[in-house]
Amino acid sequence: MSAVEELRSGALTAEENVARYLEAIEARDREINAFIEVNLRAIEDAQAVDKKIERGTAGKLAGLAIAVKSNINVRGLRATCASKTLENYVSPYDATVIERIRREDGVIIGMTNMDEFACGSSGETSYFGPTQNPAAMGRIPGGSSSGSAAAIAANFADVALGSDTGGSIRNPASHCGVVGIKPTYGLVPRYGLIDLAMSLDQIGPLAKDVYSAALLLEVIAGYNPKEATTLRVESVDYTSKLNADLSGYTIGFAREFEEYTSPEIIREVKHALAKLEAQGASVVEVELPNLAKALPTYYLTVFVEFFSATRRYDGRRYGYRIEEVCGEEVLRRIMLGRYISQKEYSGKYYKKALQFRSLIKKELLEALSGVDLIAGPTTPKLPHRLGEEIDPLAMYAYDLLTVPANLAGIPAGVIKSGEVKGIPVGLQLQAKPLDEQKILNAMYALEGG
Amino acid sequence: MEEKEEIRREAERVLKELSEALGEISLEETYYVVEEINVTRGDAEPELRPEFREAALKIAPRKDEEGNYIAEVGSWV
Amino acid sequence: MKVTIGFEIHEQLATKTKLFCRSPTNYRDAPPNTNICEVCTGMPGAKPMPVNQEAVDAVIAIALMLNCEIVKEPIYILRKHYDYPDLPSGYQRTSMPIGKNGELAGVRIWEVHLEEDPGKYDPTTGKVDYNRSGVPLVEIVTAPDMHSPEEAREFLKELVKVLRYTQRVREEGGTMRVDTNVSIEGGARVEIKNINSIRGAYRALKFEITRQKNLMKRGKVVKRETRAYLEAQMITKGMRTKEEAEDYRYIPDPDIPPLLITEEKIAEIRATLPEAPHLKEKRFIKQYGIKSDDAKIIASELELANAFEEVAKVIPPQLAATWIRDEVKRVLEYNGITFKESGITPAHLIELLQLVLNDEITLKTAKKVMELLPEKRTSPKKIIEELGLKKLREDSAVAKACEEAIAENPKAVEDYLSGKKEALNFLVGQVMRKTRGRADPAKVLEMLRERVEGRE
Repeated sequence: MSAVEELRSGALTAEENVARYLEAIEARDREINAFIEVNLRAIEDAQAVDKKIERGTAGKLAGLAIAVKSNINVRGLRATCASKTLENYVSPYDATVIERIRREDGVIIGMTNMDEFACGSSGETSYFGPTQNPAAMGRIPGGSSSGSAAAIAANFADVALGSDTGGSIRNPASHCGVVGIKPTYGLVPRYGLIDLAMSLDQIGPLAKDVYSAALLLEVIAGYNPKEATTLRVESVDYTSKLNADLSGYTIGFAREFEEYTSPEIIREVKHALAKLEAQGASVVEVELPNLAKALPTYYLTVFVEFFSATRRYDGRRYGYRIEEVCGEEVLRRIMLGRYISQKEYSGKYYKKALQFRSLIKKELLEALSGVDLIAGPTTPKLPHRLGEEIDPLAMYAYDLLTVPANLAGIPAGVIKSGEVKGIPVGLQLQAKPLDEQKILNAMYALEGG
Repeated sequence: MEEKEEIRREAERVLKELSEALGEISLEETYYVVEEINVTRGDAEPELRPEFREAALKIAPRKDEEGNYIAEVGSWV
Repeated sequence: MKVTIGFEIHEQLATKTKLFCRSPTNYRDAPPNTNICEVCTGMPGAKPMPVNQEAVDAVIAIALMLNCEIVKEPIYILRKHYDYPDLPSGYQRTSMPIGKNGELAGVRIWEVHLEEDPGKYDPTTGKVDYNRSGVPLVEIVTAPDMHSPEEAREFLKELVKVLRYTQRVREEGGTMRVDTNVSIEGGARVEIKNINSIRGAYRALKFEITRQKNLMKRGKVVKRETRAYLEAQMITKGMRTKEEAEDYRYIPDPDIPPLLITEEKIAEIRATLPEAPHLKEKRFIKQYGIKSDDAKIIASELELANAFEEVAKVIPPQLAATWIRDEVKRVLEYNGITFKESGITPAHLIELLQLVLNDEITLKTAKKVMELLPEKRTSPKKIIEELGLKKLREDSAVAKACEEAIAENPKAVEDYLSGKKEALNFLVGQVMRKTRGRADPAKVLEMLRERVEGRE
């Protein structure tokens, strides 16, 4: 029985649920380093939820323990972005997703580790030290939502919030063998999410199973009058529509995936495709000839937007001046952003990247127009060993297969499709804007099959 | 300083490789994925959360008793 | 030596909430950092809320009043990056031009923008207060079409008048900020920041032109730079030179989709615009036959002009105009308030002038009542009643006073009768004193003459 079922049946109280996670964190997080801060009021919060459960007034997430990435504001807790810059930044407000979680009686268990300011794909750039991969100890958990994925894999929480700018939910979900969803741009409020790149960032769920990922997503998704890039989607209901029957689904696979991905990963992906076919889906080939252009397009965009986003870290109202205390990768991106956003280069880099963005978006939407989903690998290679020296460009290359979804603003989900040498490999499913249900259904089918 | 110089050198290489990988194109730029215009709000009654001030000033590195933030003194004064 | 002057003028718009958040804009009497939230203090993760429509409409209205074309292409909100203590996000959000190619009082208006106000920073103490941060501003950029501090001052006066007319800017005043650029033939362009009033702009320009002329006289070069106006010392001081000029690295704010102003929107706002002051002035002269000087003064404030038109429906227009120009303006200036702030209504003015026309009160009383109107905020009749200022007709009280004055001053009577006509004035003074000024002096003179001459 899952925690959701146990809590609903009354077999488990919210307090018991939260307490067992706190014990697990206490016992094993020294080794994993998934959390930067644990919510000291979690038990109190759980007790309050139990009272509501007794009265029959509890919400959808009643008693679920939720881990939150440290770039999302939770009032009273520190949103450090795993940086010395915001080491002492105690949030004075709640992100909209946190307001929605509280309204449905989820219990925030703590703030998770991450790559500093989400700049990384390995979980190693945190000021608070790297996170272990609980599913493949000694390996990186992936990033940048490293702590959130690790917290799920290590059984430290029921569900977690991550953010995904170019793969930051899907990449660690793949490496840690958990479910992760990057929603359609604009579906989940960004209000309170600390920016990496504003035009690409989305908050999404990480979970042990598809049902709880869908549950958390439907709570946090929907129109937000407090921001201007929100979609006019009033409310969504994924859980009641979960359906493992994929009859009528056409799933595309691009040959270019094979070109850029190690064969052992492709092998697992093809196994998963066979399973999807067994559930009624038909698999066809699609073309993504400009796939490799997505990576430079993505990074040139990120540099400029990240540079702009970090201008507020001047050390005057909170924290420290970012350039004085941040790590190497963050500094490199700020430098690059500062350089290429100069007036004299405006047409050369940023504008050009935005033109290529149009191309990638067009290509991906065209490929999706004939199919329900595109299925493929999540990362081109397996996670490296923790601490291994790695060149910045090689690190960026991890994101090759995940950045197109962000550039196009489409939804994408990852679920474990198998293992290579004991290391989890995730299947990535991409869909047309607002087709999250199809992604969830395909993942649901894989989970059952 | 030397470390920063190293980061700078590496950054230059990163930029060179990325821009070479892109090549040339002539298409309209995509600034916004959400293709909306005129997303505005009415000038409704103001809203204030008094507890915000306290929480914000609490994390301020420098402030005075009146509740001003204290930044550096202007260089040209 | 030809002087060339241009302006960038910023004025706060009259909205209840800030441009990108719901914090209140009335920070006047608020303690430091009280009207704030995560958005206007640049907290990590805070996003701009959708743009305040009222502020957008205000800028369109102002641009139209300045005879601008309204831009029909998508208008992006840009991030203008610079590092300064008053700027909580490290960038200021400023729109691309909403209006272009306008004109006011012979000065070309290049661009009209919408932007957000930074916080208030005191460079001498380092204090920063973000109450003002995020208040919507209109930015007006002029061509360098002015050629003396006097011309520049006249333009600013005219601009302030027009801005007030739109009723879209903050009424309290004192929120205007001006950057000016000034150059003398043969020298570089110097920008002056930190000017907060028309008088400040005038003084800054006076000082700066003298400074540049002196440099040139000594054979030195006027370099291109940005200077600050120091109000207390009435001087300008160098802030940075061209070489250090900032690159603002403008990018469209990814959190804010662009604005697109439709023909319908423009028509809707155009329909709400008041007649421009200079057009109103011309119409008043023509329609009411009043003097052009009076028309100019009356048209200087929209509410005053509207009041005049109300009054002129009942009271002869030139009388109304003269009264407003002399008396109403005198009282407003004495109190340092606008007509709107005074609480004086057209009905009050009509009532007061009718009392004068019907000879029920003296001119002197009417002036006295006028002075009391802003303070009492009630009708003239009530004020007159309250203070017992009603004019005394030829009634027993005046008659009695005359009798008494004659009885008490036989010498004066004698003098008058022996040919010293001015002696009667002394008696008039006595009567006025006895009646505490409420009698009509002309009438008293008449009554006294009758009585004294009747004695013969």
